[in-house]
Amino acid sequence: MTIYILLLFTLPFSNPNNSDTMERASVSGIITDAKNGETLIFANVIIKGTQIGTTSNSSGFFSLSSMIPGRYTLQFTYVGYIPIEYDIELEPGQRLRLDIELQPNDLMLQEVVVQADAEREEARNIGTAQVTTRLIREVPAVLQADVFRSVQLLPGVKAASDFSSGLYIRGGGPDQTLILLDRTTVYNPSHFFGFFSTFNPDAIKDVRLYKGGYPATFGGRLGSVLDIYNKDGNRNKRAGVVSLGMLSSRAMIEGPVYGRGSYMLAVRRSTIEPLLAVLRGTVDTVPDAFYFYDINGKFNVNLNQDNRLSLAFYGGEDNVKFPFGDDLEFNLRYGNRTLSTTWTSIRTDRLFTTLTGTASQYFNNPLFSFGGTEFTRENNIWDFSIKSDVDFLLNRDHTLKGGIWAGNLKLELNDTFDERESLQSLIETQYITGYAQHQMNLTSSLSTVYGLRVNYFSKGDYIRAEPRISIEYTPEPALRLQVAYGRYHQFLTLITNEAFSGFDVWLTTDRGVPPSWGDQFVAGAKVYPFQGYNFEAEIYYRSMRDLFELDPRTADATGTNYVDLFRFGKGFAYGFELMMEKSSGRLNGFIGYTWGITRRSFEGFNQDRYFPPKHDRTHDVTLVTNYRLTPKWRSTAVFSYATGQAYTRVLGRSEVSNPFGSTPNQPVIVGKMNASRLPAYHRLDVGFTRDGKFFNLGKSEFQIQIINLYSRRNIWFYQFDLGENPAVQSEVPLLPILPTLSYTVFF
Amino acid sequence: MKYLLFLSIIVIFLTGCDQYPQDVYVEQYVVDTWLIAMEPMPAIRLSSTAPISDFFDLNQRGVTDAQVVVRMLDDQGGATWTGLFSHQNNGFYTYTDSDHMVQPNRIYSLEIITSDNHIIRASTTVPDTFSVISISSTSLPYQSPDRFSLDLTRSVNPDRQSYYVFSSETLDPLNADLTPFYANFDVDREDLIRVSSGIINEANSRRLGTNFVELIYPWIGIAFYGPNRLQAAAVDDNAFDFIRAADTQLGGGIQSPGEIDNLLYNIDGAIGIFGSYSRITLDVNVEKPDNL
Repeated sequence: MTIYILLLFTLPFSNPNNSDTMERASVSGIITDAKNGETLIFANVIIKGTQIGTTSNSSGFFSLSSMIPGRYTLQFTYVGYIPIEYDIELEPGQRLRLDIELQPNDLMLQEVVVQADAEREEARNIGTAQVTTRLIREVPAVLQADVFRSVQLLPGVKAASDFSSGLYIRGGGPDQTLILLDRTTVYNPSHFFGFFSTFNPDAIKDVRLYKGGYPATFGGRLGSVLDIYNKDGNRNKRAGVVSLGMLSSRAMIEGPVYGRGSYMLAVRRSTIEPLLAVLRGTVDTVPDAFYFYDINGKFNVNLNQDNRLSLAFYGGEDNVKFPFGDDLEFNLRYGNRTLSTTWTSIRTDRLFTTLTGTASQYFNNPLFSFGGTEFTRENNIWDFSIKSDVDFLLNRDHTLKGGIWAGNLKLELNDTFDERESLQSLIETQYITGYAQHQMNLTSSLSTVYGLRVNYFSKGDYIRAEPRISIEYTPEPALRLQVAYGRYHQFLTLITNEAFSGFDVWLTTDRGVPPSWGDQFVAGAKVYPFQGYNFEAEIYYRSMRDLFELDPRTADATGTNYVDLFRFGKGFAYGFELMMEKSSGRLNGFIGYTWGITRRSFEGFNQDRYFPPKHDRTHDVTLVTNYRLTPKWRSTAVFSYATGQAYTRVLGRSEVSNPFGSTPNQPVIVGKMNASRLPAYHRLDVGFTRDGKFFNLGKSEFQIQIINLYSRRNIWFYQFDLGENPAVQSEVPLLPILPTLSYTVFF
Repeated sequence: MKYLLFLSIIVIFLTGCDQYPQDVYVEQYVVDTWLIAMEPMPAIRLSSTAPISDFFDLNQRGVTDAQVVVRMLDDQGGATWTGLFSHQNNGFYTYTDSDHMVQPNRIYSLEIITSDNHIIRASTTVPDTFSVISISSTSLPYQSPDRFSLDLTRSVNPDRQSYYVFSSETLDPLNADLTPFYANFDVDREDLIRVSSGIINEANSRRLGTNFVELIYPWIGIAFYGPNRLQAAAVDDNAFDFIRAADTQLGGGIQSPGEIDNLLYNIDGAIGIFGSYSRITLDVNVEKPDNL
């Protein structure tokens, strides 16, 4: 923390150019969408004819300072928007305020698009990827558009199965990715027990994935960060979307608030109750009740030209009640709620501050009633925090960032069995994180970002420091070479199952359970050989130390020492990723390829040997194409191919007596854990969208999508029936061919 | 272009070498015996594993011609009792020279030397005995608000809390009706004659500040109406490891489907179980309500 304060306060005075600051000028402002007033995150600003420029921050704010007085032409660019140029003349000492509106390019995915090379600068920072809301809506998805399913298409990101939206990024499990919604941590971002993510595509403005080597501005997870921002709401006119789908339907409305702000409200709810009602009379074990919903909202108010206040909230819940038979019932409620309020302030043309208060709750409440005996669980997480960030734009070569994040995290787990309390656990911990980061242009073609993040976690009393650095070399405008290193710590671990996320439980470090940590090394090259084409290659290596996760052999946690609940291990992952993207024209899309190796080992498991986790896939190819068939019809196709997942081969069987049961124990003898591979996975999804009008009230979209077009029976896992002799092995398949229809109206 | 070629060669090299090959099946010896405190020395069964794709007949896989010795050890590791077991049939070895009763809180070691001079060793510490202090009722209607509630003395283990397995066994397997919950399942009645709980930690049932364990037997543990024998067993470390690992191998926990590990056997030179437990049993009657 001392270092942060020193950096923040000493660097402005130590700058060699500081002596003539009074003579120099600056220009700063907010970049927004001209149609709806949404702030644009990481839009680019460049002084024409130079390599000098900057990007807007997460609030759309940009600043170019220490400029010699004179005439300039500024170029403003952003993905999917028409670039504009703006002439300015700066007087000595002038601090020009210049708010810019960029016009969306509705022809972006069509034939004629002019796009500056620098447009994608921030999105192409090392280890970083952006998923556009358009891609989320267009890409074929099982039953409904989904943010996480779209993210899974990126190189380096894998899915555990067709049934899971969990993100497995560069060898890390879902708990190694920090999920932020409007700067607030979301602990179980899933609906339908993991099948979909909780994020409503209509409500989202920006999805940015930091796959690895992420900067000091983020922390708390070993692997990556998914930073999601909801829309602020249309500042110019009232607008909305209504969409009817097979699994769920959704509606969103947004608009201005007395010219001083905006609002956005989006609601989504499952709509399969009528189908369940029909099935209930003819099919056994149809749920008595099943629904999920989520609500996103955001309100923004401009206090004045330089200060803005926003309030964002999210609430979502899944509820299922399932009678499996006589005297056998299962009921589960789980969900998340978040609330955040943010005050953004342009203090000066060079100083931008953000103050955010966050509240996040996750809960799951399963109830099993078996033969007159009930098991219940109340699992709650409450996370209240406050965070403050400062962007100090010292001059055009130096930018300082700093911040503090402090909070109180409470995890409660109360089980009852047969009306009596069994496992009762309450973990409460405080955390304080501070970071300082310096972005520096060493020469016109060489820049670096380095920083330090320091974490304190009261449960176990741990203090951990995390240095981060990235260096970029741009020998020519069309080529960027980057390297990055970072150390990362994680104080939480997730108990989950890839097939079902409704029972997720988080646990923390404590005495004897130290935080996991790891180092990440990333190197990459970005090439822009032609207009509208991008090529990217990245290699990475990451270590994972002091991994702690619930010992899968834990039979009964009641009365067990906390440290004995866990198994401890280590791991590593390395690989490289290639991505070729054509971002304009009638036919556009991308192809991504990942070659990756992930290994883990845990004491007492698999004879302490390293093994590949199930989600490890050596080769992974994804091809995404968009093609405009006619002025009204568009098509999208996604083809995926991947090495078969790892599994453990059953080699032999045995039998020993069971004094507590009627049938003998039949342990199987297995080989090395996950040393065998399922058949290769491949699947083709296609989608067609027809643009139209809805009774002259607004535009409409009709979508038909077919998942797994050629009905490839990919295998999820093998199972053995030892009741047969010899034992019979059978395949448990993934999704078959699955059509989906949806109709959306924009008004 | 040459860089691309170089990169391709590295990829082919790295992916072409399988650095983590799968094991091949190797036959192993299987030990099977459960010592029960204050009961006679049980038989020991020695068998072998079979390939998963083969027809499995345990009787045909019995191992004969082995030397089987069990010793009871003192605190210094010296043998205070030695039993030589002799082969009967199908891999069963019994101790017939005396009626030695398995002693609680004592260590028993097993040593087997097979005809091919393969040595198998294991040991178990027999759990402390415990007893029933009282029971709330010996006959109750099924799913009545009351349950069979037993006050038990503790099975004391100085190093850890005790681990229990609770089970019930119908005493009228031919005539008793299944309870509705178990009637849901498409399994043979014979497979439900005895049903058990899995591992239950003592902390669930121990009365705070006392040396008593209060077992309230849940209705889910009753598969048949009519006369049932309830059993509470305090298990040793070997049984604890075996049962919890076996439950994990069956799946459904936090491990991904298809991610399987071998069981924890705590036996050198073989797999199986050389476990022990102490137990109490109590006979009760489960009345079938008129409406069921």
